[in-house]
Amino acid sequence: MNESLLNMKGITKRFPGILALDSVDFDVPKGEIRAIVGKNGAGKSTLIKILTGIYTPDSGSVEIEGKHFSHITPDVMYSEGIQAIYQENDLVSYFTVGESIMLNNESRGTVRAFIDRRDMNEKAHQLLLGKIGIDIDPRKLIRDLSVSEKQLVQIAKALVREPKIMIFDEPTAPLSAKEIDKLFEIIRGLRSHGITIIYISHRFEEIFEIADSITIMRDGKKIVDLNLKETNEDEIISHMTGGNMQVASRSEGEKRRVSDEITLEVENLESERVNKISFSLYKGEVLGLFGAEGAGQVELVRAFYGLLPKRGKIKLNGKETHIRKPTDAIRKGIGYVPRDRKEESLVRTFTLAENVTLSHLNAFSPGGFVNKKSELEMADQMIKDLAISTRSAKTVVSFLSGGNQQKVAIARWLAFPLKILILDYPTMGVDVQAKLEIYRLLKKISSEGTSIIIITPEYEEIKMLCDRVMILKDGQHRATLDVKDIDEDILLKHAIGSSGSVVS
Amino acid sequence: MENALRITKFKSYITLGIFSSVIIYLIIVSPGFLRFDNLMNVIVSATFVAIPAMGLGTIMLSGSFDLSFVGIIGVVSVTSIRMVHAEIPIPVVLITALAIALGFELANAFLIIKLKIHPWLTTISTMLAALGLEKAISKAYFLTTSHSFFQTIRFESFLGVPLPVWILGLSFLLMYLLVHKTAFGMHLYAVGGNEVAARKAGLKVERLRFSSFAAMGVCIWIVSLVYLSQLSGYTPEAAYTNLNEVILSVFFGMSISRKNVITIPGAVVGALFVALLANGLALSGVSSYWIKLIEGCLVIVVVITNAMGSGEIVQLEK
Amino acid sequence: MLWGVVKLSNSKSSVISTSSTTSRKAIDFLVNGSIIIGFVGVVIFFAITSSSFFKWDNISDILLRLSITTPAAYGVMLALVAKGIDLTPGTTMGLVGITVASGVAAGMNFGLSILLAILVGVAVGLVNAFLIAKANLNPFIATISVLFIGNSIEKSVTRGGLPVYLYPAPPALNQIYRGSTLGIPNPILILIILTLLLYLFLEKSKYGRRLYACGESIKASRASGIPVRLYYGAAYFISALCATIGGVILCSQIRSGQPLVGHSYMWDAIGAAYLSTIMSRRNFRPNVFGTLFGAVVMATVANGLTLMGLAFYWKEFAKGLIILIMLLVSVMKKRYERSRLF
Repeated sequence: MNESLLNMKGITKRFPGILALDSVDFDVPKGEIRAIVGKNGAGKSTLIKILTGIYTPDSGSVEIEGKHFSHITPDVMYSEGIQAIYQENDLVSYFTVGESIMLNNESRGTVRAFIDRRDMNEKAHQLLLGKIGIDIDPRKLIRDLSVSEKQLVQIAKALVREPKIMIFDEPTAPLSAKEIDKLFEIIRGLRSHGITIIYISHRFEEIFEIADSITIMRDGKKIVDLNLKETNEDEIISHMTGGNMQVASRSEGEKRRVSDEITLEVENLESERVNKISFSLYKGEVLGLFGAEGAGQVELVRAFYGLLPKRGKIKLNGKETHIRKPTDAIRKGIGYVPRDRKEESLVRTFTLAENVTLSHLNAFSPGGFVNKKSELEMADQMIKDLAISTRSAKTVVSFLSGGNQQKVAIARWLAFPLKILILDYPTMGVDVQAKLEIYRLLKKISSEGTSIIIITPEYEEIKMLCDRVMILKDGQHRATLDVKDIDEDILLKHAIGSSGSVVS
Repeated sequence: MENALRITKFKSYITLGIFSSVIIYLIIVSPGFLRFDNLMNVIVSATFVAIPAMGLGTIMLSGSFDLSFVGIIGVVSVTSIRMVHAEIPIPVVLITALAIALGFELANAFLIIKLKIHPWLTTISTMLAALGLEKAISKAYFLTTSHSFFQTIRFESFLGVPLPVWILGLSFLLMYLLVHKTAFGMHLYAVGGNEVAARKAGLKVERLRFSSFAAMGVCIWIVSLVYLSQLSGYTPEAAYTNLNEVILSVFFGMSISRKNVITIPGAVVGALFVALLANGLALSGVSSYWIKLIEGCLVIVVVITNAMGSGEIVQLEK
Repeated sequence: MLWGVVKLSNSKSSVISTSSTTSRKAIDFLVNGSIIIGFVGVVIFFAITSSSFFKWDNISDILLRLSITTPAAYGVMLALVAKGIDLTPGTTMGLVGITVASGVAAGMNFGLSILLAILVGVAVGLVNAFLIAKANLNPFIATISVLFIGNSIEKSVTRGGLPVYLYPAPPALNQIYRGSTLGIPNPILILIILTLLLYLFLEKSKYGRRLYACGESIKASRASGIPVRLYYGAAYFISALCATIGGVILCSQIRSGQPLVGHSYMWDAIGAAYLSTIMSRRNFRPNVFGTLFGAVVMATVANGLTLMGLAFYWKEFAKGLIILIMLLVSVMKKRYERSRLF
């Protein structure tokens, strides 16, 4: 039994209104590959951020090889050898491989002031060949490398500092199957060199293939550590969900309101991260869109709405249509509420009224000049209908709370007949009261004939709001299920487990 | 996007190709172009552009910008001349000149790095203030000197090569070693290329950026002395007329670099090219205003081709 | 139902905090107040140092100078709304003036010369719009390059900088600067009309609203179906048109086409437009009346310094300092606001 390399005890972290981590104990023995899983909001990314010094815990301590720290700082990361490999590029695009790997560790020539590039390239090459097992010409430029090669350079860069702990955060997302095999070979090699590895991923097949053990988190708590040889997917999923809480679905007790009329048919939509997805949407239906992060849900709706280039067929009410940019979609009665309301859907410096009319200014400006009176009237109406708490329609939206901001973002689309409303996780960061009001609003809209597509990672929301849920995994359409037939385990099994197959 | 990337690979060859063909054309068309003393003249006139271009290039590759150097050169020149007229010994003049140059540039650096004011806006107003200041000190007059220090630089040669050319050579050597051969230079490139990555790698970003402005200060100092020598004194706004060429040289250098980055040799080659071009055109009888016009158009052409190779400084973040 | 069990408490208030609104208003009041008081102080200073400052002749000089710099300032303001900058108004004014003067001097019909000049302005606007909105260039680099090219054209066309004097100046040209309509001097009238038009455009029309949206949030504008690039390009185009107007008035004032004459006005324009962002109560939003006030400030300072007998270079120095101070003030204001805003 290996002694612990990393021992985090009693880690607690609070954010305004949320207890992100509740006295979490996390310890990993030396030379083990430990996976961490948890559904959205479980706290795993917060834990990692504490481990990499981005956040400071409110209480608890960290021990590395017996050495005690109250929290991690960049200096600690450096001295104790904690290295993280992220998806974002930590490389300079016009540097060579050698320069990237040896940055801040440059070899000096005979004149101590000058660097010896040849020696640096040698060392870099040796590192890549010896410890990673890959042969890349150290003189190649970073921007000429493939995504997989860039990742390997990042790993080599981390290895220069002789880390004790390496953290991999969703490393396989952009890789091909062969590249994944190669990466796993390398990770096993790192383990054999005594490096402890923390592996974050939502792909169960990979977790079972590469990791030795798994830590499962839920609602800010560490639930259990399991040895992967002694468990299976279903057990892990049931720990992640906490075993089937009874959440009443909306459809129970309500007569089926969804008509049989098909509002939207999408065939073989292809775009960034979207692999030939097809689906249909009924009039007045609320369709949930669920998947792990990066599964393609966001790209799917954005491509559909005209914000991303795409290929594929779209049929509205049976007629084929082309949506090349957002104006086309808006004109056809499609609205889109992006996830990041501060940056992407609201103009922070505009007032409530100005934001509400932004997408349909033409209707409020006969003759070119904005009719501020009718604008305010509409805004006041929205404030009433959506129960937005604000002193007036002239308040600048940056002063509203998250929930009210979200209501404004939705209000923009409600002034005019809407065929389809698309929302990307509208309740993120919204207080409970506003959440319920938004649900009530969405149910009302759908009962009036508007179809809704809502991306959400929350099982409770899907149960409460949706008639059907479409599950995506790695850019593919895995299943579309009636919400009354599912429970959380089934949902997760399709989204991150290995069950199901592609729906064409 | 594929096409743009393909063009990028050949971009440096295309630029070099254009460069060479223009030179060849000028050689054919103007007699006397290739004469030694003509070429030396060209290099001397390139010095005015090349030295600030090296400084500007250093600031730009570490992620910032500076327009004000043209005004600072003026202030340094006019102050030095006034001191020379007041019979202050040359070593003191030189040290004061360096201090003034560094002082201005570090003030720029403070505004841009510490107060985080936009580099373009800051240095445009610093430039305006400096230009006003230089003329205020000189009352917009020419100020001449026949001090031996400056006369020597202007008229003497070493091994048959004029002294200003030696100054250019030594400055180039210094800057080249600093930027391309030291770890410091590599760190500057890291900061300019990906500041976040540089920080994560443990580099002291602020200190590095300050140093790039200091390097520009040194370049300003050196070129001010060359201006004073070659013009036998101070001419109001002398450096301002070369602003165009300096910017062109830096971008030109970027477009002939294989990696599409700003380099010291590139900036000097750019300055030489611009000087050769201007000289050749002048010898062929083209008026100086048309030459400036051509240079202006070249800036846009070069900047657009650099933008296709995704030069970050050049593009608008959209 | 799950929700019924959990005790709901709406802990978040509807507005982040009323105290932050009041403190924001306080900063605005402080900053704008200091600027106005500072300006008043400067005016008093000038009045003391030169007896002729408050004479009607001098005031009308200031107003007439205003009629030239403010249109250019409006142009820069539009570029600022588009989150960029326009460094070309000076050269546009010079080119326009040279075109008018050369046309008239060559015997062309006056109206035709004006038309030609307008086309020149349009050309500059289109080039700027293309470089920035289409070719995606950094506005500083793009407009400074156009500035250089314009300067060279100015000098080449006038054979090295010789002004094209018009003796006698055509009466129509004279009228632009020296005539009056309905008792108001023409340049002031033009300024009033331009101000009104731009005000209506920016603050009252849907196009202005969309332009502000493009500047303040590209992503939100795109998601709302606004063609951002088109609006950005239009901003630079209109900016050049404004500079053209200023250029025609200038040409009328000096009765000639002089290269590089527009230069010093460019700094007034930049300073004025920037001042409007600092004094804006809507989060640094460039605006018409703020720019007008800024132009008044810059014109007064330039005038006062001249009256004090200071040579032109002190004016340059002063303008540079003023813009630097404005930058500092805006940075401090931003810092303070950021710690309060969402």
